[in-house]
Amino acid sequence: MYKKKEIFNKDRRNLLKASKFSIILISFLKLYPIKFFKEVKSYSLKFVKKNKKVWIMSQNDFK
Amino acid sequence: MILSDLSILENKTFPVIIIGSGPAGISTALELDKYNIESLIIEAGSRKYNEGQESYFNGYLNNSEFPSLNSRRTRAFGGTSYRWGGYCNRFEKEELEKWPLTHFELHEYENECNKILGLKNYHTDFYIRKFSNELNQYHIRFASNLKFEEHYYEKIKNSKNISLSLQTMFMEFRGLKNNVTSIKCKKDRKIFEIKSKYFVLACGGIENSRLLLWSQKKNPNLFNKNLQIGKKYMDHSARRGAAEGFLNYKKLINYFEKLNIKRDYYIDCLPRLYLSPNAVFREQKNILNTGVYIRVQNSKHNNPNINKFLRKAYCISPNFFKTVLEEDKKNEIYKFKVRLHPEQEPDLNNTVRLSDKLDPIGIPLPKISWRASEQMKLSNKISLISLGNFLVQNDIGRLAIDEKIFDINKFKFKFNGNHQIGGTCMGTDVNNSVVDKNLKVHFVNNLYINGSSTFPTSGHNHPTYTIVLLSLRLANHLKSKKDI
Repeated sequence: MYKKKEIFNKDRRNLLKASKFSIILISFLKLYPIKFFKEVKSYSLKFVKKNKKVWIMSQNDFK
Repeated sequence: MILSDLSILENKTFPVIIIGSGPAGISTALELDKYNIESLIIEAGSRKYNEGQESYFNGYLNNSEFPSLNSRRTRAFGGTSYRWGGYCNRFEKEELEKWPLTHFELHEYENECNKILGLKNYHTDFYIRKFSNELNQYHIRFASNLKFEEHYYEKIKNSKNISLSLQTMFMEFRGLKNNVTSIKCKKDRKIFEIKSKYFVLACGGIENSRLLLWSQKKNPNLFNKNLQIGKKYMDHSARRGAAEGFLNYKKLINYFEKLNIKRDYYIDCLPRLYLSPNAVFREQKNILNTGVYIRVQNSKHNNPNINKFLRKAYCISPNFFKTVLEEDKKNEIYKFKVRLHPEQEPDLNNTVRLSDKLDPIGIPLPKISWRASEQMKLSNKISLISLGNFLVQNDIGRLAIDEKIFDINKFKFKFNGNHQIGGTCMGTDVNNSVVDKNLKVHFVNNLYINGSSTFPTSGHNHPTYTIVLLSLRLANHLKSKKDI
């Protein structure tokens, strides 16, 4: 009986720990929702000469 | 009060004589007046600016990139404030590391300075702030007291402590070793000698060096031979049309909002944006500071004709420009132009010297040896690429740079000659400067130099705000003298 109670308490403590972690995680995601899941856009510059001017373009502009 | 006859001053010794009535001279006299300290201002011109003063301003240049010397200086009460645009901004903390003054020492009298220049809507927390990883944004303020003649002539006329003598030409400093005792000047074809305890030379960037060099030549015992007078002359160029491009105004506003900047602050700057590379980026790339001034041509300002501009660039990438032209139909795309204000580094080869030809009162005209360094040209190029990079990275717009900027041999500066800096630089090393941090000439006990000629570095900023700050600091330094 004593053992059962101890196991029960242990589980409850673990459950409490897990809920605390989830609360922290949710609040973190609420604060930084975009930054956490944002895709990092890759780009590289391309210099194009036209009419005595050098245009600074992205490689993606030519796709 | 206004003095018409100087013969009454023969037996008088003024506490302070100020030579030159530009923003530097007037600000010093006004601050001294606050503490009931008497001063005499000597001005070579009359109350209003008159044409036909070229014979005093002619000079010799070794470089065609510099404009004519007689078109950028003014002999009149108020000095060059007569042609000033009213731009006020200050030096960065990092830039002042090369100065003998600390940031606090220079900006201690900022409130008084704002009152003199009539500056309003001053956001202290927004003077300079991060714009991107490589660029800073400046909040340039515009002085409402633009012309000093309009705002301060009557005040000085009615002042008991400030005496003003117009059309009085300074000729030279006189004195014994290490002490100036009097000045020689000319008014109405008569020569006068006026005595004072302290002397302030505030005649502008080129004139300060020229008059000091002339006084040194006339009185070799008064000045130390090793003073670096006339060396490290600097100027700002205004490279108009350095680049142009287009941007999506909505995306730019969103970018400001993403940075959590209050609308009041950024809307105050638009349609102008003043950017410059930050200290970390400058150190990384080993470049000088460069003002990158963007002017967005929105519907309120000029007719942008953006469609024509975009169609010219259409063949670079038809698909990309097709989408931009569609955005333009929603009136979201604006054209902008970029103007560059690069910093010039102090160079011992850039000098103001005396030429063989004389002006009408017998003082040699200036001879300026000057050239722009390759580092200046490189700084322009890198700063513009950084702006182009920012526009691409945030997909706000695109930039087209003048191809001459990429070719150092073809690229020529067009200097405006309005900001005459250096020549009598401030410093702690006696062998490498002319004045100390209190603007006192080394080895001379009672002679001070005021104005942009004392700046040890030029920065990219407009100098008038710092000139007025230095003038107020000088007045407070003179106030602390026991014999005044």
